[in-house]
Amino acid sequence: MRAYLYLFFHTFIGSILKLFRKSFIWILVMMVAMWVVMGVTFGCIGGLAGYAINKYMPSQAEENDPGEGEEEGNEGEEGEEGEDEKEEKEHTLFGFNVKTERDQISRMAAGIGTCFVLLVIGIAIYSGTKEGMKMFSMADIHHMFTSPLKPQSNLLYKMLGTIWTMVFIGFYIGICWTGGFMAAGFGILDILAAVLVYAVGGILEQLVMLVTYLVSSSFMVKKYVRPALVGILIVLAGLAFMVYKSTGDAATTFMTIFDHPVINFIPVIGWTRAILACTLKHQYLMAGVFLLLSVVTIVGLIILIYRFKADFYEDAFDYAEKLFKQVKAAEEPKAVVTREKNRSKLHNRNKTLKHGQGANVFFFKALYLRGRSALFGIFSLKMLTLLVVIGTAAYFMASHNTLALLAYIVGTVVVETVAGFANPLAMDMDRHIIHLCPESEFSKLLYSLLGNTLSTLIDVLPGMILGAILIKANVWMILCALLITIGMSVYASATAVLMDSLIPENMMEQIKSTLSVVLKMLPIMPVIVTITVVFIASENVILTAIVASIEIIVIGILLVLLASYRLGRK
Amino acid sequence: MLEVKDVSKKYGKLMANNHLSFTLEDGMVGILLGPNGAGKSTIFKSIAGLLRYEGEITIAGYVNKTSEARAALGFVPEIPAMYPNLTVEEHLDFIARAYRLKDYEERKEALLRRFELDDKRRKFGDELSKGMQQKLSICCALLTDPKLIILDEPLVGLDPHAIKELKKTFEELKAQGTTVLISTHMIESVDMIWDKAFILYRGELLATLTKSDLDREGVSLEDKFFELTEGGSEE
Repeated sequence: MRAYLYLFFHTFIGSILKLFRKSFIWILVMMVAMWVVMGVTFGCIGGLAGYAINKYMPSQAEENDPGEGEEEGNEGEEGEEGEDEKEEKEHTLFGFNVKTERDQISRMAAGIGTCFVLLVIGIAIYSGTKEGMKMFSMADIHHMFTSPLKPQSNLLYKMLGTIWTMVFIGFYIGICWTGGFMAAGFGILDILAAVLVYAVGGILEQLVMLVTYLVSSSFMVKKYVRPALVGILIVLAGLAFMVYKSTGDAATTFMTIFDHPVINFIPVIGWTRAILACTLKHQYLMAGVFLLLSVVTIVGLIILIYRFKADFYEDAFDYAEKLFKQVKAAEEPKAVVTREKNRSKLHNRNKTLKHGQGANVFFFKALYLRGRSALFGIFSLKMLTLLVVIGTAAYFMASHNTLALLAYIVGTVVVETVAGFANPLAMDMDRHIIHLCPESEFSKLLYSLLGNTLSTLIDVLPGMILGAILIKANVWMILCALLITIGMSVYASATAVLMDSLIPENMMEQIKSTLSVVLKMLPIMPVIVTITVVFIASENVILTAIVASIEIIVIGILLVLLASYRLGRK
Repeated sequence: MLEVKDVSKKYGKLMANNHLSFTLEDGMVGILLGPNGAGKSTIFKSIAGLLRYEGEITIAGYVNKTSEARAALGFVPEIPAMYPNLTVEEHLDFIARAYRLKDYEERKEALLRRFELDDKRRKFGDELSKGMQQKLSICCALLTDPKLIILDEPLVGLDPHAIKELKKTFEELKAQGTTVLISTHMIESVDMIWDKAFILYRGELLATLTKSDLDREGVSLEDKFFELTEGGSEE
């Protein structure tokens, strides 16, 4: 125990010291900014939430006391039908009727919770058979594995580090997005339950992955795990098809399957999702019981892992050695990077980069790289995937018009943002190629991001047009969605560049993940403030979207400025 | 001290170690010789308990994967890997805690001085050159005062001073009765201290030689090695 505490504490201190030694001012400014911006943001979020709840949501009294409310409502209805229509109009936000479908939002949220838990457990089981031992470094192998420390203790030490990160990130994201959830009509306890489900799901993911690895490698049942997962997927798809045939509605099908009360009693998966489902239904005692059951499951799995006598050192060693060799090879000046898989046949090696000179070569390089791996130079895998995913989703959502546009826009933006958190200049920065071009760092980064954004636009556009036609969306709303997508692409890429230039490569994994999440969330906070102020002042969704998008792009450019300054100092 | 009994290790279809058996008695210095791909590193990793294999390996009478065996073993890998966020001194302190060492400070200071790391004690693992990392790796293995120490190509990447100190260390270890097993290509560097040599070739143990036998025959280890692996001595 003393050895693990020593290792953790000193690795933590070492990481912090190195971070501050290289980027003291930056980190200090970031931390101060984080707290200032968070304070302002929460104030605005509270304002928006209060405003939205007062304006769009039915009152608590109306909700909690339906009998009395109905009577009063009926009395009122007799003579005020015209006013009712007006009121109904007022309850519409983003084409989405908040009053009549509040119960549906709760059911949808509970269903999303089920999907999340199913997904993480499924991924854990899948990767448990394949890469259950990826958590160890070569230094762990040489210093921990050869020492008298117990193998199971080594395993738990590494796993607890990952779990700590998951819990922190869960709570941080929960705090950051409190406003968004509250604006959608959820209470603080609902948000807390969602965060708990995220954290418990993340912890279970790690534990289930390890248990799957230990069991499957010890009892030689590895070959049955993946077919079993495929079988479960087929059963789920069959069930979904049957329910869809009887209801004829995608949303109802989703809620029938993923928010069925019986699911709560399925061990592990059901218990975890039930924390959220019961909270959303105000069954707090049951939510507490399910939380307790989930905690007992976690403790049970930890004991099981500790007691399981499996010889995992060789697998851990294989992964660590492979990674170690790759890192060492990349550090060599004449590095030859070997790929485990051959490049796609779509890669056209006969093409050459013909356009651009000076800094703008990075703009053309981004487009060239996209074109080289795309069919006929246009149809990239990403474009086709988005076309199929957005098209299919829009087709099913078209039957449920009120939710379609909102889900469609949010979905596209989220997918693009998550996918966009990759540094388009990672290779150029790693190999110092970016420094070979004798132009300002800012223009090189800006051109690169512009090229990357244009590539994104080309990939997203066909899917968005198809989706828009299918759900017969308002053209202005779609243009807004496109603007937001572009903005998020610029912001996500710029954040990734800044992260790469700011966070040292060898940083302790927990600190690295934590800083990454803070850096990803921090720049978006002023946007939340703007949305609050502009929306309350104007009540115009399109104007709000335009202002927010412009702000996101400006923030992206500011991040590029910061990143280029950091890059110039390296 | 070290007993390797009928150990085989396969990587897919490649037989890296084919039914290897050898013993190294207490206080002896053994050397493992063989061309590239002979299976030297594989048997070292098996002895260190990092691989799954068929057969049996015991260290000081304990199966090598038990805590008792690990406590008796010091391992210096071929390519050192250090924690990037621990300093030189912290590496040694961590090892001391992992092995539950008491009163190790004096030994730690002596090792740091001997391998010229005392002025680099505040350097982080990723700030050390490969040679320094190798020195630190050796210090980590020596700190625990192991009964058996195995060193995989320990002289590669070291500067002349460190090579001299390491050779001196081998002699001291031998004198204090520590069992040492070294895998190396540099036969001349261990020529004066070895007692037993194991010649490996394509995963198999070609011969076990003792220094006294070779002295009696009047043949050098280098000549014997080439005779066994290439069918004749190299001029």
